[in-house]
Amino acid sequence: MRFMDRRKVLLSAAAAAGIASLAGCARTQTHAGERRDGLTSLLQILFPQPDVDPSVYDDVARKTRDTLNARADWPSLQAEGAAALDKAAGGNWLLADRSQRIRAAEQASETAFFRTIYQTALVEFYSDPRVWAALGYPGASAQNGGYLHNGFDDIDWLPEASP
Amino acid sequence: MTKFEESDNSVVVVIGSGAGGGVVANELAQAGVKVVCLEAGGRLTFSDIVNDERVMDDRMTWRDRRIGEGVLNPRFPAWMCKTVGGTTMYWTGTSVRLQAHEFAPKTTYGLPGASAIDWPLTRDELDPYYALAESKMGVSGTNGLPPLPMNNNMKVLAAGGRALGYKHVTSTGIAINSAPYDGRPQCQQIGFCKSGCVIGAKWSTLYTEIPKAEETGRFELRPNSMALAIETDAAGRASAVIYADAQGAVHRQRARAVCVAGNAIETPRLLLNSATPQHPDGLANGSGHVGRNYVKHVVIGALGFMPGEVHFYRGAQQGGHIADEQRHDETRGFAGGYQIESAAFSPLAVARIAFSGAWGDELADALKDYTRLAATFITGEDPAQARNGVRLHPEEKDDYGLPAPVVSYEDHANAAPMRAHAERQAHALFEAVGATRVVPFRVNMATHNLGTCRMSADPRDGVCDAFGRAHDVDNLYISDGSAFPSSGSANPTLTIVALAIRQAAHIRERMAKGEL
Repeated sequence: MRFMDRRKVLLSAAAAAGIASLAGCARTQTHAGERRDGLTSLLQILFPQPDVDPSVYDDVARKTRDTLNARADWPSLQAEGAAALDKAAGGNWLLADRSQRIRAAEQASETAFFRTIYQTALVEFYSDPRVWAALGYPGASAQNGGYLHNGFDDIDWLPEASP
Repeated sequence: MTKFEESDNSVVVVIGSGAGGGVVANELAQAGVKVVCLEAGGRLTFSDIVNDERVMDDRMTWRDRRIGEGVLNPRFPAWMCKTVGGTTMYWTGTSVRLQAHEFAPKTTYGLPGASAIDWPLTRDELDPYYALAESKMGVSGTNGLPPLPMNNNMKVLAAGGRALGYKHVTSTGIAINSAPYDGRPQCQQIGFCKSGCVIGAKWSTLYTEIPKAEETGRFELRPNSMALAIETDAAGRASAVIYADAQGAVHRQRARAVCVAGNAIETPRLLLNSATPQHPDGLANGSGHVGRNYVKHVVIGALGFMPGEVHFYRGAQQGGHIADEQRHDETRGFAGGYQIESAAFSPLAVARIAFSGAWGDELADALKDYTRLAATFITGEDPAQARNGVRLHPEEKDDYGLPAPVVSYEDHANAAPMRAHAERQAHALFEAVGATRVVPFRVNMATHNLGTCRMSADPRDGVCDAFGRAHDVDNLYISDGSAFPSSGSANPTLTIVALAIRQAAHIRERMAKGEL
C-alpha cells in the first residue's frame, strides 16, 4: 500500500523524514486525535483551539498545501525549513511529543518557512465556520434577519444601565 | 444608459466613484452637467454583497502592486478598495465633523518636525456643507434620525466611558440608517458590515450617489477603467484622460474639466504619471507637494476580556463613539486628540491584528473567550510630515505598465505619547466595567489615507486651493481626502463628502460665469 510505504519512509529515513511529511499526504491518527501528518500536526501546535474536531486541521492543512504549492519559492523554503524543524524536534518532528514540537516551533518561529505556513494557515483556520462554532461565533446573520430583534442589545450584567 | 463619445469635450471626467468622486459626479449631474466617471474597479450588485469579511475583502480590495516603506507592510502598504463605490464600500459609517481647531493644526499645535499648514477654510465655512452631507448620507442624530441603537459592545464602551467621567458618549454621527431613510431600510444590526452592508442601510455611493446620478441621464459610469494619465493642452488646461479598459485597450476621453478622486495613493500617482516636458515633476506639482504630507491616523485597538457575554459580532460593527479625548490639551503630553469608537473584530481579525504573530496557547486562550470580548478602535490626529508620502518607483511597474507607487510612512514623535495615553484610557475604561484582561494592539494600516495633494492658501505650500482646484491647472480638481492638510481625529468620509459638495457648487458657479 502506498500509504504504508509512505509511512515507512517517513519513520525510517532520518533527516528526510519530516521534510517529506510536511509536503506529502501521509497520515495516521492516534486515539487522541493527534495527527501524524507533518503539516496537520504543526497546525495543531499553532492553533490548539479546544472543541475543534481534528478533521478541521486536516482540511486546513490541505488548503494550506494547495496555496503553498502554487508558490514558486515554496519547494526551497520547505526543504530548508522542514529539515530545521525536524532537527529542532530531536531528529524527526513526527516522532516528537507535543512539548518537543512546541519547543521546535518556537525555535523555527522567525523563519520564512514558519511564517509562510503560519500566515496562510491562520487565515484558513480562523475563517472556518467549524472553528467559529467552537468559539461561539455563529457566522453571518444576514440570512436570519440580523440581530435587531435577536439580542444585539441584550447585555444584562453591566453595572450601569445604558440610556 | 447614457453614453458619451470619447471625443465629447463637454463632459467633466471624474476619476473614482467613492466618497469624493461619486459625490462630486452626482452633484454635477443633478445640476445639469454631463459627467463621465472612470472607476478602476468593477461594479458589484446586491447579490455580490455578502455578510462575510473575507469574501468581501477578496472582491473589493485594491491589490495592484505597491511598495511600502517605513512602518508600512512592504507589499501591502495601505488598504483601499477597487470597486464601484470605492472605500465607501469598506467603512464603518462613522460621520463626525472635524473640530474648529483641527482646521488650524499649524497654529494650534505648532509641532516641531511637522510640515503642517492650516486649512485654507474654517469649520464655519464648511458647516453648511457638513449639514448637506449629513442629509444626503442619513447620519444618525441629524435630519430627524434618532441615534443608532446601542449594541452590547457599544453599551460596554459607553458604561466604561461614563465610569471614567466621559460626557460625550454617543451613537449619533453614523451614516447607518437608524430609521428608514432615502429609500433605504433601517439597520437590522446584522454585524460585520464594514465590508459592505447587505441591505443598503449604510450609506455608500454604490447604493446612493451612483444610481441617482444615472437617473439624471447625464452621467456615464465606466467601471474597470483605470486612469493612466491626464493630458493638458497648449494652454496648460486638462483636456483629456487616458485610461485602460478591462481588456487593456487604451482610450482617450476628452474633458471640459477633470476631478481626481482616486484616494491618497492613486491621486498623486496619477498626477506624477502625467508628467510631460511642460510639467517634468508631474502635473499640478509646481509646489513639489504632490505625493507629500501623507497622513493617516494614529490608530490603536484594544480588546477587553469582559466578565460576561458581549457577543460583539452582533450589530453595527462600529456602533458609537466617545468624543471627550478629541480635545487639544497639552497637559496630556501630546498635541491634538483622539476618538474612541466601539468596534467588532471577526475571529480572524482578532487573531491576525490583535494577536499579530501569536500562536499556540497564547492565541488559542484568547480566542476561546471570543464571546466575552468587547473592543475599541481609536483614531488620533496624525501630524503631517514632508517625508511621508507617495512617489514613483524608478523601475518596478504594475500590471498596467505604470510605475508602481512607493508609499512611505514613519510616525511623528507626537504619536508615541498619544498612543500610550490612549492605551491607558482603554485599560481604565474596560477595567472600570470589570474587564479581567485588556489587550491593546497597534494598527499601522487604516483605510484613512489623506493629505498627498493638500489644499493651501499659498500655492507654494500645497497642490490645490480651498475648493480643491489645482493651483497650477485651472480646470483640474482634487476631489478626495488627498486634499486634506491634516487628518483631524475623526473618520474622514463626512469631510470628504462635504468638500465634494462644496467643490461641485464652485464648479457650477464657474461654469455659469463661463470660466469652465
